[in-house]
Amino acid sequence: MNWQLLGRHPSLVVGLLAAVLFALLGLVSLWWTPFPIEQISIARRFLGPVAEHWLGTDHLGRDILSLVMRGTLTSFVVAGLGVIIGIGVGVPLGLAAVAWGGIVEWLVLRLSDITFAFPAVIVAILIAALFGPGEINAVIAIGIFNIPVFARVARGGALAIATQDYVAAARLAGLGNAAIAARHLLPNIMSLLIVQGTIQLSLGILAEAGLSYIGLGTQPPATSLGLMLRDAQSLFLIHPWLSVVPGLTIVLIVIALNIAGDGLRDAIDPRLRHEGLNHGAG
Amino acid sequence: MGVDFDMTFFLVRRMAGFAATLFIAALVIFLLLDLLPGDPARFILGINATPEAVAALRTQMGLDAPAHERFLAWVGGMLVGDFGLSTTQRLPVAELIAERMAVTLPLSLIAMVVSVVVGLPIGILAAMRRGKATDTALMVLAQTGVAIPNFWFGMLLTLVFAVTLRWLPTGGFIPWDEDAGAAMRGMILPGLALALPQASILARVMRTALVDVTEQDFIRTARAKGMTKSEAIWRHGVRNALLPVLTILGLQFAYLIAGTIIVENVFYLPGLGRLIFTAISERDLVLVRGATIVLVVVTTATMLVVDLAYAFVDPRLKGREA
Amino acid sequence: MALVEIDHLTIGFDGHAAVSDLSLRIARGDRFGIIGESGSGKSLTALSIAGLLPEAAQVSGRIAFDGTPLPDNERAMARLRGKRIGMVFQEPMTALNPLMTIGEQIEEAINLAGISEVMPLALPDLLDEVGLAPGHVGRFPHQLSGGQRQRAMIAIALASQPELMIADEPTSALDAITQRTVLDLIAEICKRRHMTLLFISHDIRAVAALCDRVGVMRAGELVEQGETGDVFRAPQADYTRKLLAASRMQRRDRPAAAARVDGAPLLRVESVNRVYRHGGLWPWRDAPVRAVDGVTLNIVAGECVALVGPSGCGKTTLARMIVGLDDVSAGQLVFDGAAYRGRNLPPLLRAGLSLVFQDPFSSFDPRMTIGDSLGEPLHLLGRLSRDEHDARLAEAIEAVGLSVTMLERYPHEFSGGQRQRLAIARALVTRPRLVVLDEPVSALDVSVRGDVLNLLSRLQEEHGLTYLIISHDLDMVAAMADRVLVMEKGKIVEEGAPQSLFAAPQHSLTKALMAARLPEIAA
Repeated sequence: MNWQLLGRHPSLVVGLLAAVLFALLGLVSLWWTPFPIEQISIARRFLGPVAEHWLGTDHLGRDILSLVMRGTLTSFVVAGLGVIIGIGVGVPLGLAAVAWGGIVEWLVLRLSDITFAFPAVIVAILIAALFGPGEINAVIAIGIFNIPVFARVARGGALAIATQDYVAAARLAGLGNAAIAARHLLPNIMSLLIVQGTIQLSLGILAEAGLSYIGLGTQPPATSLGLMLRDAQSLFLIHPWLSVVPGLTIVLIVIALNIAGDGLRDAIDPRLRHEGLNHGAG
Repeated sequence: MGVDFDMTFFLVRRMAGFAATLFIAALVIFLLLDLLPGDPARFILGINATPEAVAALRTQMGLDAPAHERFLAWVGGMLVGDFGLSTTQRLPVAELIAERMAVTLPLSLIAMVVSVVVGLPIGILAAMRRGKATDTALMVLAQTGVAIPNFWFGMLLTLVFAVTLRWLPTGGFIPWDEDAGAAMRGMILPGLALALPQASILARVMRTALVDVTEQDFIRTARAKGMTKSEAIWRHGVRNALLPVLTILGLQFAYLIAGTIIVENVFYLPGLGRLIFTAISERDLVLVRGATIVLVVVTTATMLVVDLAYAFVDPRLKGREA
Repeated sequence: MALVEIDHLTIGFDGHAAVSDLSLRIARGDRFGIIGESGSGKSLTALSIAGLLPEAAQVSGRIAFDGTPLPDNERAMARLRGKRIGMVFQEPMTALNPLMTIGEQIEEAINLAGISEVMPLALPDLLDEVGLAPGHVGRFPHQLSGGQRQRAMIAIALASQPELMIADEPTSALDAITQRTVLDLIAEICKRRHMTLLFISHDIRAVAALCDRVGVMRAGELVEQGETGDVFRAPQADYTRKLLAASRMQRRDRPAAAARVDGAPLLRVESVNRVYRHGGLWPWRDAPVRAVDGVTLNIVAGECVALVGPSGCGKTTLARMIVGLDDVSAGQLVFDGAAYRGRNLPPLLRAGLSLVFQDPFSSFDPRMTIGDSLGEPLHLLGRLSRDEHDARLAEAIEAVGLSVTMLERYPHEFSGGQRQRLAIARALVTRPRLVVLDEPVSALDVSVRGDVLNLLSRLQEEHGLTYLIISHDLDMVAAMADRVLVMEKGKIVEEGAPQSLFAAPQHSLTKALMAARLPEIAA
């Protein structure tokens, strides 16, 4: 990626900047928030936006801006770990399917079929039944959902690369399957993975919100954007503000990531458009 | 030999794959829930129960048998519609699930229909007007729609249409046999909430697919025959573009049922989701097991149906591998 | 008045001119050929006549059809080309709609031409005219062969009984024999219908055989035009002379001693079979395909042997087994006295034979430097010192006439001809004895083919190499090979020295290949 490339794709710059900004906002919350997020003050609850509390306070009198900052961090961390699991397991599977072929490929495809049969919500339900709800629960559920997505994207991309003569040339040079996967296949599908990673990150943020909202994800006293919406659920008819702020934050983050993803895809290679799996989270 | 043989062969292979996936999925669910720490019998009877009572209940629940026998008994039972007895509610799991499906299934169907009816035309329109203001406006809308969590959109819809305008109920559900009209009215907002992101994704995928197809050689051939560009896209482009869209559609629909679980929460609908959450909190494992396998069956079956539809639409099926 | 008049046509993309200031006339009944290499702007010129240029193109100049400037209105232009211009494109697979039968697609063209009242008659007649059977009507494009698809494409072009047919590289995606039959079909139809033809090709001999007037294009400019005979007899432009020279391949002179046909064989192929099974776990589903069926051959050190045959005859499969990319199903291979079955070729033996791929654009990893790609086969020699490694790379790249500084660069910085030189350098880096050349020049522009072939000849003399050339190009084979093997359906059907074999072919396939050969352009 070079700077001229960014210049030619303004939407990529805008999306990337906005996404990084949100990520930083979350990161900052580790050291500083306008108010401590646990600070409860019943006297000051349900404040609208005021000078002291830019985004108002919630039903316990907590500062919403502080909660949103920390919640953004949780969303990014959960979704990001989910992407890492997906890439870490899915990409080697996809590459192995292509480099070894035959029975390995068959196994990988069947494994991905079976994993596709478990939408993230169902995985989360099963894990919740086993270990109880929690952030880890959401990470695993989203990660498992991501595995077959990355396996398929990696396989699809690598299949196209594997027919290239330079892969045959590497075989002639005595390289084994693993070396071919590492030296030739992986570097050439990197751009594909970056684009899909961005898409899965935004899907993961949506999925985390959904899981926390139904009580399978992040649990108090920790907070996440989805959990804030869960807290707002019983009150939003009277105090809609409580649900508007975290909801809008999710929307903005996801739009930023999607614009960045689209921009990356166009910038890296216009031909990548059809390769990605552009589907919704479970 | 010939096409018919290939088609039969293809059908048999896909059905076998479907059955195998379900079998393994059932095994995974069974093993996961079987690994669960703690004894369900003791949990039901409480800490003060005598060991004899627990042992009796274990026997009654069939927990004494070896794991493989219990697994086979469970799968065998399901094949004849017996999903076992709920440990907390003491009712057949099949009955409980069927009751909730009366909410969940129609809801997903409404969402599917709405998302296709809205999403595909928008995608086609945007592709035909590529680069123009209409295209940009529609794609900004779709970009936003994709980013809105469906349950949050449900909250906003409630605020506008139920609280402010008072056109529709805020939530709850009146059973179909009591008042079908009211039941339907209760489905409108959750259906729309579910459909919005789906329709946005479909619109984007449809547009991309159609733009790609527009660049193909056979569109140029159609134009060489004497068609204008838009005539060529209508007659030759749309059908070809629907093939990749169908793949995405399958995945989306498959996950839609699972998605209803979240939206049900917003509207206090007594769907499958509520049943499952109660079951988890009460550790009613027979019910959790039954409900998850039903969700997995529906998900996989939807993918299968789309796969088969694909095969019938695309004549190049012969020899195509997964 | 000419049917097509082009005056000062300039076509640009983002300010770069792809066609500049081009003027030409095509008279009614003419068969006009445009010759040019890839990127010369010949296809854009053809598309501009039909109003089919990409939207991003900026066009200036004037194009008139039958005395009237082309209409600006899209619908009017579409109707004009639908009724009066027929088009045939290069790749018949992608040019046909995969979801519609051939019959539907031809009928649609008949309907659009506005002559649907005669349709019941028109369809069978058209099929007959292009040599398709009535049974092909219900087939989908993927169920037809390449030649049949191109025939269907021609039927679509003819449906409106056009005055002008534009054929853009109509045969370059087809194999030699089919190529000739499609060219003959186009010639015959033009003659019968008195139709004007605009024929676009990179193949100077195809143009010479088919057209009575030619234009030569290079980098967007028409460098020469005139009567075919005049242009080729006395070419005015240097570029035309260069193309003509490249099309007349001279047999290279080899010292008679170079090929000691009686020497000990370097490579022995002993009753090799390769069977592909489809249907996976259901072996009864498809009959196994015998790609290579009992092939036995010897190659003596220092020889240049060519393996020719139509696509799908098994020649590439055989080459892949020889270099160790695929395994034999039965039989064995012996290289330099050591027997192997394909992929079990041990590293040191692998270093002794190498392969040059057909497509220089896909044979280098775009993300690796040339040096890294060239150094890859050196793994086969075990651990080399840094100095020795670098020395080997320098030796190889200088042997093909390029400079050591290029090792740091990436593939996209090189032209097709340079890349093929680099591919040859990679094949030489382990100092092999046998080099397998898979269509070594067919992906290259005509004007650089000669250079690459000369390089190959020189390297063979200098390094005492043994060549096995896989090709369908009989002229190239006749110029290069000491011995030719003709392959059909997995079997070697004929063998001999090129002069005698091509002068008096015995087997039907060899005869057909010879008959499909386009005539040399008279000097």
